[in-house]
Formats: sequence, C-alpha cells, structure tokens
Amino acid sequence: MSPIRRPPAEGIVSGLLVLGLAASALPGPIAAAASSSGPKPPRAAKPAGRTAARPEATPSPTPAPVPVEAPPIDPGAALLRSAGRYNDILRDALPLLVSPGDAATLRAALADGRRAVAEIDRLSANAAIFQIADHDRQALQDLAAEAHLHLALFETHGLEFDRARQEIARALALSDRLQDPDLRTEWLALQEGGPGQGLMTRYQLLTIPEFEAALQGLWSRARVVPFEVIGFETAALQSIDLARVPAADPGSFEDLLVSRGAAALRDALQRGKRQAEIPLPAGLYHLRGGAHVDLDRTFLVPELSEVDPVVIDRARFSLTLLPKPGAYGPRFFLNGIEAADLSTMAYGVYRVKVDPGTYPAAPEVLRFAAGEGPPEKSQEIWTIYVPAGSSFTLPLDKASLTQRMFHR
Amino acid sequence: MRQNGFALMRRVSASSPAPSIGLWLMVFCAVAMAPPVSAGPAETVGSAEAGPAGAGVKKPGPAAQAGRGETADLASLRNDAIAAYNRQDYAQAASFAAGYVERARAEGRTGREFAAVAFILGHARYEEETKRGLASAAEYRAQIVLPIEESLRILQDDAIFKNMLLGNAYYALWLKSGRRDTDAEGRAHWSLLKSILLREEEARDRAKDSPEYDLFARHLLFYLERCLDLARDSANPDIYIQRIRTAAPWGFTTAYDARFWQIYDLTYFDGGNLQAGVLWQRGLDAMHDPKAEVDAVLATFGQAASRTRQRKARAEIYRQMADFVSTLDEPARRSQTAELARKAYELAPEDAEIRRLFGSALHLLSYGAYASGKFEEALRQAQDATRFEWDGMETACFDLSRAAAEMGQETDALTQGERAYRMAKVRATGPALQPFAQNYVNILRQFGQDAMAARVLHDEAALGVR
Repeated sequence: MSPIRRPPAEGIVSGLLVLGLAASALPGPIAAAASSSGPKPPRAAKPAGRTAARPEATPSPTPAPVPVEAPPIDPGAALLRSAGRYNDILRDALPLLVSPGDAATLRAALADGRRAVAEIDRLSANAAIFQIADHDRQALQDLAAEAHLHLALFETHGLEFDRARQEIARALALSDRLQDPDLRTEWLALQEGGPGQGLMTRYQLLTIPEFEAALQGLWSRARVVPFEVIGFETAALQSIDLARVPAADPGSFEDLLVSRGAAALRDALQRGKRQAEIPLPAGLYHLRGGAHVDLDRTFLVPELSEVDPVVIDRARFSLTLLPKPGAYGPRFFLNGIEAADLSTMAYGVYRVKVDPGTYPAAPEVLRFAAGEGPPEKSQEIWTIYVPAGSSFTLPLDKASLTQRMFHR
Repeated sequence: MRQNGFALMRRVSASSPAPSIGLWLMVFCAVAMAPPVSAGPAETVGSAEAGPAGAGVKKPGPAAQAGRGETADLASLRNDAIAAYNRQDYAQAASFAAGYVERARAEGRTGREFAAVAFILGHARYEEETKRGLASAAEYRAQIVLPIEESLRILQDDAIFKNMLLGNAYYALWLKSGRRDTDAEGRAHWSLLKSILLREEEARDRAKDSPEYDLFARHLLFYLERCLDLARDSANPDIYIQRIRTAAPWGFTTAYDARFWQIYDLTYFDGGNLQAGVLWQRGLDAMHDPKAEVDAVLATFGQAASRTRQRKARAEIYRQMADFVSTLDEPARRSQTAELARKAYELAPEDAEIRRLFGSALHLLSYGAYASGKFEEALRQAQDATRFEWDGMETACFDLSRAAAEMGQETDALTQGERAYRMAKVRATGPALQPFAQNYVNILRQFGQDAMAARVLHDEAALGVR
C-alpha cells in the first residue's frame, strides 16, 4: 500500500466555492495593482475542478534567501512553546472580561479557553513519552497550572462557579509553585492602543491567595433564591419577566448574573417546574407576568442575611392581629418588603419585627401557607395554614406593663 | 511612511489601489498549495505518541499488508480508498472509504487504519460536497465533519492541513446553518487557529522574508480574513477583535505588511465595532474591483454605515461613498455624490475634507444646471454651497453670482461676484484667477456698473479679461 499523499490544493481551492468566490473570478487588474506596490502576491489558484498545481516561483526583486537548515528540535522546548501559545490564547482574551461584554462573547471566550487548556493538558500528559528533562516537565506543569487559573477566571465570568472551583483545585494540584507567596497571576487586563499603534496591555496581578479570595468574592455575589410558584398555569408563565431595580450596568458581572437568573427561572417555569433555586445577586427585583397575568411581585435578595423563599401565589388572605398593632409593631416583611395592607396578604415567609419587650413570645419568622392544618410553632418560626381567601386572626401575647417597664 | 490605520483607510480612493479582497483570495489559494506532506496517516503513530506540532514520530507503515486482524477484502477496500484519494478521484475514494468504515464499524474495529480511512472519507466527501453543495447542515455534519473529527482524535499527523480542513468543514457547516450555528462558528475558528499555531512553530526563528515565514504569513492572512468573515455575522463579534489584535502583528514587516495593518486597524474602527468595520473594509476592497457593480459596492458601504455606532465613523463611510461615486464621472451619479456628501456633512460638519467634498459636489450640480439653462436649479445648488465654509468656496460664489445674474437678482449677483473674485484673488493667480475676474466684470457691466468694471479690467489687464 502506498502512503497517503495529501492532495495539496484541491481541498482548499474548492474552499473558494464554499465561500461562494470562485478563483476564476479573481480580478486581474487588482492583482496587478497589488503587485505593483510591493512584493508580488501569490498567484491565483486555478479554478476548482482542475488539478491544482504547485505554486509557481514568485519572482523576487531581491536574491532568494539561502535555505537555512532547520535547527534540531528540542522536544522539551517545543512542548513548552506549544503549551505557551495555548496559554497565550487565554491571556490574550483577558481584556474581554473587563470591557462590558455580553454573555455570548464570554461563552465563546470560555469555549476557546477550555479547548486551549485541554490542549495544554494533552501536551502535559504526553511529556513523559518524549522523555523531556525534569525541569522542562516541571515548567510544563507550572504552565498548565497557570492556564487552569486563567480558565477559572473565565469559568467564573461564564457563571460556571462549580467548574471554576474545580479549575482552582486542579491548578493547585498540578504545581507546587502556586504555594510560592511571591507568585502572582493575572486578574485584570486593560488594553490601550489605536490604529497604527502597538497594543499595550497592562495586567493587574494578584498573589494566589488574593486571586482565590477575589474569585470567591465573585462566586458569592449570587445568592441562591428558592422560588415556589402556586396557582398559575404553565402557559401563563411563558412571558414572565424578572428584572433588577435599578438595572445593573449593561455588561457588568451583576448584569450577567441577573440575566442568567432570569433566564433560568423562565426556563424552569416553562418546563412546568413549580419550585426552582435561582442564583441572583443581592438587590431589589421586580417579577411580572405577561399581559393578562395577575403577577406583580417585588422582592429583595439580601446581601448577608438568610434568603427566604419567594412564594408566587395568586391567592390572598386577610390577617387580623390581636391585640391591634401599635407603635412597637409588629411589622411584617415579605422578602424584604413590608406588608402595608394586612387585609390582602400574600402567602410566603414573613420576617416579623417587634419590640421584644412588648411581644416577648413573637416569632422571628411567620410562614403563611395556603391550606388547612394545625399551626407548627417553634420558638422562632411559626408555620400557619390559612385557606385561600379566608381571614386569620393571629394572637400575639403582649407583655404586661410591669414586664415591659422591667425589660426596659 | 505608514500612517495610522484610519488615515490609511481614509486615503483610500478609487484611484489608489490598496491590498484588496482579491489579494487575500490569492493568498488563500497559495496557502493551500503548500508542498504536500508525504508522510501518510498509515505511517504515523497516533495522538498519544504524537509530539508537538510537526514532531510526529514516524514508523514504518503496514504497506500493502492487512492491518491487525483485518481481512483481505477489508484491506483491499482500504487500499482502494487510499489509491483513489491519492489520484484525487474523490467520488471513488469516498465510495471505497464509506464501504470500509461501514464494515469496520460493524466489526467493532477502530485504531489508526480506521482513522486514516475515516479521514479520507470525510475529506473526499468534503470535496464532492463542495462541488455539489446539496447536503443539509445535519447531513454535512454527520457525513463530513464527524468522520474528520473522529479521525483526528486518533491520528494527528499532518496536523496543519487536517486542522485547516476541519476548520473549513466547520465553516461550511456554519454557512449552511445560515451563519447562525455558534458551535460550528467556534469550532471553525478554533481548528483554523490551531493550524496557524502549528504553522507558526514551523516558521519560528525564520527571517520574515524567508519562504517558510512567507507561507506562514499567507496562512495567517487567510485566518484573519476568516475571522473577519465570521465576525461579520457572529453573535459575539468582540471576541474576534482580541483574536485579530493578537495575530495580526505576526504578519507585520512581512511582504503583506499593509494588509496586516489594515486588518489590525479595523479592530479600532467605530470604537471597536468590528461588524461595521468588516463591511467597511469589504466595501473598500470591492471599490477596487473593476468587476464589482457600483450599486453593490454602495450597498455594502450602506450596510456598514447602518451598523456604525459613532457619528464620526458613519460620516467617514458616507464621505468614502461620495468620493467613490464622484470618480465615476457619470451625470446620473452627480446628484448621488451630493446626496452622500450631504449625509456626511450633516454628521460631521467640522470635517474639512467632508465640507470640501460636499461643496465640490454642489458646485458640479450647479455648474451642470447652469450649462443646461436651469438657472433656478443652479442658483439653489450654489446657495447651498455657500452656506458653509469650505476649501474652494469661491467656485460656489462664482456659481451663485452668475445664476443670480441670469435671474436678474442684482444684489446677489454683484455681491457674490465680487466675493468670488476677492476669494480667488487670495488663493489663485494668473489663468486660474481669470474666470473670476471676467465673471465679475460681466456682472458689473450687466447691471450698469461700467466704471467699476473698467477699474477691475485695469487691475487685471494681464489676465486677458475683456
């Protein structure tokens, strides 16, 4: 069997047809014009369908360079160069993380980053086969670790936090050099340049602990918010809209998180799910249904305190307090928003704010659920079942005047 | 001396050819004509043993023998596929290779022999499909892209060519999807980039004018042009800005330096709006193509203008369009020139070049209208041209004065006639000044100012004013 010879040109010449640009359509005068102002460009290929020839020698105004014998290949150096080029793909894309980008750009950068790191890992895995020197192998491991750190940054901006954590772990496992307190890695890249100018990129470097802490800061920007939707048909939730108020800066990390959260919620609801855990950054949100859908909820995602589930239920109930609320409360907050009208209460988890001296036995959390059943009470959390549309009287024990005076 | 990119593009006019799309197509072809690599897949060990780019370890191939456990007829199919492939009979090669792959799959075979034939299958079908163009996107993926990918997972010899082919196949798939398949777009780019990086390793340490580096530079140009094409309809064009800024400098100071700079500078056009930049560059390239339809060129420019974000960039495109149309020297194009120049002027009235272009266009219209006896039209155009300052404004005053004179508008005729004469006197002497002086004298005489006319005649006696 004869060896396979790669036909040199046909495949690419036919690529012209894929582009819809036949080689035969190449404008002659342009070629002449182009060639008159400098070294002659390569000749046009013959039209597809014929056997393409080797390129003809290009006349050169200067003597042809003397062929230089290729230097011997150092496998270690070659591996390092190859890995370095793939790592550069990641580094060169870092400015995309600074400029207000869109999710599609970040996804594309992330996809390339993953491919680049896969190539570096492949080279690193093959290093042993080539019996390269130990120091080269170590350098390759260090470079792979650096690439995994970069990838962690891209995974984070791509909102793939779990994968980002895995990349950090992989980087730390690959190279002991990351333990060096003086080692720094790129966190931000800012570019300056213009037409006709060289590109200048400035990097903000962080030590590895700083880098990890900064990543963790990004990961914790989103809080997991449990949603519970009751009483709406799937069709009514098709055009649900979740927006932060005020909106995050377009292209900012917050904006990406909000967009992703809104998309995830919409996706879950459209798939008929009635409960979903959606990561959202802290802030005030407005959830609205489409036209003719009675859904309009505002809720707050707290920065630090516990996140309560957001219960979306069309049904309402009426709440009466015994004794009547006075200057010392109680006040009820549903997902951070105070309930102003107790006669049309939404179901959900309320935080109760009272003067503990006045209402020493009041719970911290009141969970109102639609339905019937005996209340479930612990010292801090009460779960009360109230049938939809009915009223409920909530008795709260008020401390005696003596107790209140003593308390103060 | 090379000027900055924006200026470089601005200097482009219909009469000053620049590196064009024609050049890159030729480059594209020439890259393909790289000397063939004779080491065939059957001779090269698989990926696990493959080194970095170009450092594949060669082993003696199985020659005409059957592979491990391969039956004679299967080996025969493989050899027939290879033979047909080597003589570029792609229809036959695809047929034999398909037979081999089908049987090998049925027998659960894999390995290097399988991978080599799978590549032949993919490539041969690629060539056939390129000629016919009948496959749907799904068929294309299954019948062409997947066999090549499947082969590349096992056999990574001749990696530059194979990755470039895979990139082209994904690019064709992207086109078949109506330029919407983002996965195909990403893979089309990645495979081509990979082949570029491998080629760069070959050109490493070579002089920029060496044949090795020249080959790399041409391959690189092809890659950059592909980036531009992908960016044009991409949902994520910004990523190509970074890719171009990284790769284009590798081609600086090569034989194609100007084109590399042009592409690099495009990344700054309209504040980094690459989609508008690509269309803008395509328009500039088409402008130099004598076979290109004028209206098609203008349509491309128009698309570019509609995608711009910044006023200045849009004005520049309209300026270029007006400049292009003005060189056509067809009466029907004169009003189009003025219309385009007016759009540019409205966007960037501070630009002296745009003011000059707009004023000149109006002057031509006024001049033409006057020559055909349409004095009202000539007056209107000339009045437009005197509403702003521009280099050459004396011609507009000249037009206005004589059109006003024909309409009997004494004050305008005299005022503008004198203004034209005074302005021209500052800028011109000798024969260039003569028409202005003569026009002024004529108007003075028309409105009974003979004494004044005599004084001008006396002053400009040397000019031949009568």
